[in-house]
Amino acid sequence: MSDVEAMDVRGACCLSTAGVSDRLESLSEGEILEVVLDETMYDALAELVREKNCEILETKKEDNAVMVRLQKKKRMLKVKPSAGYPTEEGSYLRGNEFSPVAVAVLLNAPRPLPNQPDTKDIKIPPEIENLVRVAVETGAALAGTLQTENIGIEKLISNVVGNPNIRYLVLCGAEVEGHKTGDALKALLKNGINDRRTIIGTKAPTAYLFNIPLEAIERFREQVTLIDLLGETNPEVISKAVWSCYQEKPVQFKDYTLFDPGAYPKPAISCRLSLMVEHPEEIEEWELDEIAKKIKAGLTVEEKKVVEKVITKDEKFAEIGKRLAKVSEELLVIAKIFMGEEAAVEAPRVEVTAPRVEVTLPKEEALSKVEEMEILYFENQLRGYNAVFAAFNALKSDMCGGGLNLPLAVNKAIKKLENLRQDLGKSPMPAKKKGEIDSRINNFLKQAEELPTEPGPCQKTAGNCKIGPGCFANGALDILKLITEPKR
Amino acid sequence: MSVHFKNQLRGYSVVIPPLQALSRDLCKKCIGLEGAKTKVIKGLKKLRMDLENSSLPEGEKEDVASRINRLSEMAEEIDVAEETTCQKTAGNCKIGQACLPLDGAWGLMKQIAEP
Repeated sequence: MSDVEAMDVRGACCLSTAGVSDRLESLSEGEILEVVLDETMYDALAELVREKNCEILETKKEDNAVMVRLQKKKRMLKVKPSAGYPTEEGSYLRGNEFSPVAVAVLLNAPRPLPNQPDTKDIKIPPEIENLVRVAVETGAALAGTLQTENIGIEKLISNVVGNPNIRYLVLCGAEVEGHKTGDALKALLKNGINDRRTIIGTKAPTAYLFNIPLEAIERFREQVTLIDLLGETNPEVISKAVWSCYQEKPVQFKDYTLFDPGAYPKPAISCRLSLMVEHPEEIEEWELDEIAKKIKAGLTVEEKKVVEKVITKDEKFAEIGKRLAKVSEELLVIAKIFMGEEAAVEAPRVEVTAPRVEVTLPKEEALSKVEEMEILYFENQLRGYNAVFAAFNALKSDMCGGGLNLPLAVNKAIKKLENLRQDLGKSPMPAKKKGEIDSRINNFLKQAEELPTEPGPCQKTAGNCKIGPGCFANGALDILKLITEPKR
Repeated sequence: MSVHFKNQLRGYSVVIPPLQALSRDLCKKCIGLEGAKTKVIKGLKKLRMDLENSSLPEGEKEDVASRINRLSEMAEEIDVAEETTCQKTAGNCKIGQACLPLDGAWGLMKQIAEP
């Protein structure tokens, strides 16, 4: 016998008088009810089910009757984020904190440099800013830019685990060259980190997560599902992805079936970056074990004291510096007075309106796209030779100077430079620029005259060079191979 | 002198000059050059630590230490801007995927596979 309550209302004139309406109202969450009714009443029941926040699980037709199995819809659990959410500052916008989706737009642009006034105004490219805005306007809880594979990801984790309502992370935008942040984030969610706090299986060069508790990293991986739109920059697609994530009923978006599953069933984690390692990009492979150990142990009291001391000392120096700068400004004014320049300093300002003179300056001819690319090609090649010849000059005084491969590499470089000069002759770039590049090529060829070009015995064969199968001279020449753009 | 120290010293002697040359290029403002400089300085620091723990005769140790010191001074003198940013990301470096200081100059250390 089934435990499910059944109501047979066949023959009833309406569902209210048959008590169905009241029963649906009083159903508790998840409780199942079977209703057997005349087929003609089915539409009315379906309407009532919607009205009373229930859902139909199964419908069976028997002769002129219908058996409907239904239940009260489970309420979607939404929770309050942690106090101080989002805990980390960054370049992001906040939206509805009950939304199940956050959006990370990869940022391929220079960061503002605080000490360089001319770069202070560098802004996030408008197309990226637009993606962030579109994401929040469509309904994301958080949307922001992500640039680095270490501190950037740590900040993202910190902010996401502070809000258990966030269950999806949309990753979009073009991959960050050099950092490979998109690849790092994908690998983190797929593989996690190893005991050296390094993201497993990523191409990102310094994907170290030193500054965030392991608990937060694990929570992040459990809490969110990645919607991988790496490389996508179309606002409409991002908007569709965000919209799909907060639908009550599953919808298909690309390869994903998305709906709002409610909050993650564990309390929010409130954490901030420890900044034990402020520059993870400077960490060497051999330092990882030591750092991981230190993180495990936490900062000792002595270390904390040292850190505090350093901060206080630095602050004092900064204050002294500021005062000295002020004194020097005042001394400059006094010096000018002694030197008889006080009149100039004190002289009242007289506004004079000069007659307007139209001056036609000789215009530099605008470069065509082809010419620009030509110049870029030769400039890039010369940047490579700059490094190659510096290495050759260093190798001259090494055992390679009397060896086989340095002279061979130098001869190859000479040939390549001569070819480059021939190409330059045929290039459509302006004559002035051609002259400049030609003189730089000559400069390298002159340097080559001071380098060994007569091959001697291979120093490996002679038993002197024991570095392994590699070769410094060939390695130096190979620097040129790194220059792959623009193609010719 | 042990082959390890000899090879490492040869490597750093070859790596530092191209980094110096690149510091006169747009790499001066680049995080790649800054990173490569840090790698050299740290690498030499590690070499000094290894030297202290090695069983090399005192005379040789002193010789290696003085060469490490000289190379460290050269590395410190690599001119890098106070604030750096990836010049590819900034749209100034257009050589392709690679980075001249990191893949090119520092990459020369990878030629050393022995001992």
